[in-house]
Amino acid sequence: MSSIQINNVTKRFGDFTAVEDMCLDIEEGEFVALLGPSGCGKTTTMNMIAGLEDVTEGSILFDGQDLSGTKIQDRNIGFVFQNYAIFTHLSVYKNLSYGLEVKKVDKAEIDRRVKAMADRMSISHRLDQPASSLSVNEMQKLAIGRSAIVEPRIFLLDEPLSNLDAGFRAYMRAELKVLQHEFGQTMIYVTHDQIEAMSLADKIAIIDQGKLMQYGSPLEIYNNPANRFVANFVGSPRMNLIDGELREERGTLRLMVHGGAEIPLSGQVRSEFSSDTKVHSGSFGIRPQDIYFGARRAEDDIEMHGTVEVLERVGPKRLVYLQVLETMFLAIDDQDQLNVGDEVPFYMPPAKSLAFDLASGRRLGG
Amino acid sequence: MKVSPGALALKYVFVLLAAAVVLYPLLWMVTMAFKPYPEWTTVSGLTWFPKNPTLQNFEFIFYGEAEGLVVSLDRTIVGPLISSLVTSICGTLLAVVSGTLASYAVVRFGLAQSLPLSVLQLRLFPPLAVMIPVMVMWAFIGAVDTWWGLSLIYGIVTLPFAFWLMKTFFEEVPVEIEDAARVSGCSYWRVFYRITLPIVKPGLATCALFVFILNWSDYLLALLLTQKDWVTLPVYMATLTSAMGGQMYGMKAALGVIAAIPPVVFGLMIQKHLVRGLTFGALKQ
Ligand SMILES: Nc1ncnc2c1ncn2[C@@H]1O[C@H](COP(=O)(O)OP(=O)(O)OP(=O)(O)O)[C@@H](O)[C@H]1O
Ligand SMILES: [Mg+2]
Repeated sequence: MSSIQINNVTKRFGDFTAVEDMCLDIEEGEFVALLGPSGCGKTTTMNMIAGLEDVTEGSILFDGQDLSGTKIQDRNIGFVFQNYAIFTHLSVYKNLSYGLEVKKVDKAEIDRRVKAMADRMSISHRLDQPASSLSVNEMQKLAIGRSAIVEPRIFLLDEPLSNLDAGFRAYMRAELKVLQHEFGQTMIYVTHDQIEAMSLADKIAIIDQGKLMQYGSPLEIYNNPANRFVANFVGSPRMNLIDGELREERGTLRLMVHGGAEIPLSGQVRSEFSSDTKVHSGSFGIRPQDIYFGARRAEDDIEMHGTVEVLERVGPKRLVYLQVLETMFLAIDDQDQLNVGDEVPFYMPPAKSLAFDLASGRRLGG
Repeated sequence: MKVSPGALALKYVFVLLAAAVVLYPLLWMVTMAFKPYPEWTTVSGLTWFPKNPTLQNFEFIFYGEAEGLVVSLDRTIVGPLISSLVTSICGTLLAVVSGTLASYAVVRFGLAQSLPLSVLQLRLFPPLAVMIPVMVMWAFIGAVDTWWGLSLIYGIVTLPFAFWLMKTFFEEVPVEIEDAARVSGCSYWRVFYRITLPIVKPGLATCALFVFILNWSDYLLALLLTQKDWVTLPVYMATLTSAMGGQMYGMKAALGVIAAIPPVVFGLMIQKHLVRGLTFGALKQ
């Protein structure tokens, strides 16, 4: 078990910067998810932690110790690759025993541990078969088992669930959480699925184009996104993000949206938008579940009118697509009170609304 | 998919046609090898199968003389056979080993990125074009008519082929498999010979077979770089022509049959790999 510090790490491939000035502090035994869209540098970051790629700038410390001089084979890292990288020319047994054999562990001990791990991953009945004959689900289990068997000091998982079918994926997600408790190991987990990250991780690092956007607990990231990218990326259904020009008229600050819609800002979100006088265009964010219909609940709630365009049932609730001139708001109707074509008022509490600078994406005020 | 009888028939016609074209000379050679002298030519009317099958031709090339034949040979097949085997095998080892290592370095470590093209350029002109300087060089280092001199030129001439073939195989091995092994604690060398090589084994076997056949069937290089001691089978075969008995068709055919054996045996040995080809199932994308 180890803590990991990633200090101002940059990785360049020629002129291309894959990871830029990344800083992450991972505590011992913590489960951290790296979350970001495809190509944002997640795998590159993992490879650098594992030592498969050199760091261009900055340093990575394990328990305060720089391992950059240590050979990768002496680092004792468990790595589950995005495509599993099973040794298909070997049997399942040999795949599991591989790391132990390399480490010259005693034969009887290898046998004991391989059998225990095969049992744990429920692939015992497959031990003697060639690894190439496994199903994807079994390959996945084998890949995890093969990495875990050497009891690595940290455990890196690169999108381990992305190729699985939905049912097995949910099962593996729960299983991974259990495994992490069993092993008690520091785990870094790469995914582009925010639900996976939210449900598994102690902390989430959100990355976009090689830059760290935010690092914090799932709730922190959900409730308090540091910038527009995070707000847009996290949460399902997605947050409403309405871009427009800020204009002060007769004492009210309004967000003038392209196409004519106007959001009259009030309360907290208004002061957030006006906290930086240099900002002239902004982005207004509110989660669909924070928009409500019916009677106004608080004096400074922002009121707007829209037409119900589409109603989409999601379980007991319905997603509401509200058209305000050319702008679409997404809301949730949990009382089945709306019909398509209705022209309804809706309210947005300013305390639950977020203000972003459109140019930089930076969160304002908050 | 259901194939109509007509299409099936057509398919067989083509297969048979192709087989006939390929097998016709082979069959001719094999039957000729067992024909006695009078049946070689049209004098007694050519037949497909020998009327009086005989091992005379084989006897002749192995012992230099045979019962009922007035001519004799001053050199039997034994020397050239050994020469061919030694030089082809050594040349193949040289080309395959260095080609494999070089292409792995190029593919995996990005070393010498201009090497693939320059190696290919080497292959673009016929070896004959450089044979005069090569002969001078070989004479200079005393490599003419030695087993190692011939092995060396075989290795050099077939290296580009081995290099390019192995390069394509290595390119198909996912780097993650090697990374997984390295993370498990393997050194680069161990990853190479315990993980990567076994994965490309079918490719390696195929490459070795092709290179071996190229070396085995060479005539020109052996003709120019050997004189007496290390004459190879193809060169030896040519000498059978000018003996006083005129064209020794039967002996040549017998020689051909013997010359065909090593590649066939080699091919059968690695057939499993040839049939299976390269199947990388490790990646689930
Ligand atoms: N060896 C390399 N040479 C050049 N560019 C590279 C190399 N490896 C990665 N990249 C580039 O770096 C960027 C980040 O790649 P990376 O594999 O880390 O993305 P990722 O976040 O893991 O994406 P995905 O979700 O698709 O796996 C990509 O644009 C990729 O093209
Ligand atoms: Mg990746």
